[in-house]
Amino acid sequence: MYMSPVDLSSYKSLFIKTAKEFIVNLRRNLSFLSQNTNNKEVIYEIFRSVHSIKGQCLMMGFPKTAELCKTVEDAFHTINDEKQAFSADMMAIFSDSVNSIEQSLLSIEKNNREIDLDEENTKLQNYLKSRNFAFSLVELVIVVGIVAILLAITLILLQSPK
Amino acid sequence: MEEKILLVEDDPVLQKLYSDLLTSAGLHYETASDGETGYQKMSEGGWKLVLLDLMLPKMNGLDIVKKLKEDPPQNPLGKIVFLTNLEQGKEVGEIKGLGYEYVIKSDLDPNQFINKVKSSLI
Repeated sequence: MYMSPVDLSSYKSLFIKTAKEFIVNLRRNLSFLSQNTNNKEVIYEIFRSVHSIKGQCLMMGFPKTAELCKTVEDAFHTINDEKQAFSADMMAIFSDSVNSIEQSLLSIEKNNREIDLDEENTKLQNYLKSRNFAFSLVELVIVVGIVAILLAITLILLQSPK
Repeated sequence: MEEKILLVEDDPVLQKLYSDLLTSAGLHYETASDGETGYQKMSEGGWKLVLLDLMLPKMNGLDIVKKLKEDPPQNPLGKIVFLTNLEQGKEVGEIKGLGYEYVIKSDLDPNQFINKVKSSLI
């Protein structure tokens, strides 16, 4: 069997360096986007940058940071697919998320420990739900199920003898 | 015959990790760090295996394979395996629809990565 010679800690400085570069790109592109909210190229770059940080965090063993990245990524995937539009008032919450991701990266750099970003992640998820971003698959199944049950009850009531 | 592998991956961390793994497994490879360079190298053909990241700067992995389908290289292109961290969405649907294999990068540990590469070379 092939034995991996990989020691992930040897990739840490490259990970931190490139993740910080992606953070700079994210901030610059969010600023561009607030001035031109339909810029497809900028939307794709934001999606790609946060997707890359997520992949790096997963590989390096920092799942909490990756989870927040995934929520931002999913939002920009939805925007990139034109299922939802970006508006300038969304800037603040996405900037907060980028700041949180950066703080966690700095903690990893200094202490080799990520910050628990569950609260920030839930806050962003709730915000996105309030802005009608796509339902999750589970939520979609529940909604479809409820509609199907209501339809079935209506049909039974209509067909029952009066 | 030398098994030529092309690794198209823009992320410097993942490119270094995969390169180190391929080297340690004694496999010969070249790299490309963006979609345009990846397309250029793929259009020359002659690869045994292309490991193609989906999300790339300048041209994404799907656009590369669509362009190569329109204008195929003279030399055989070899097998293409997409690398992605997207578990769903229209991109993954398109990869399946076009008949390509893909792997979720975050699901692969180093041993699984090399095993996948070796099985794709057979």
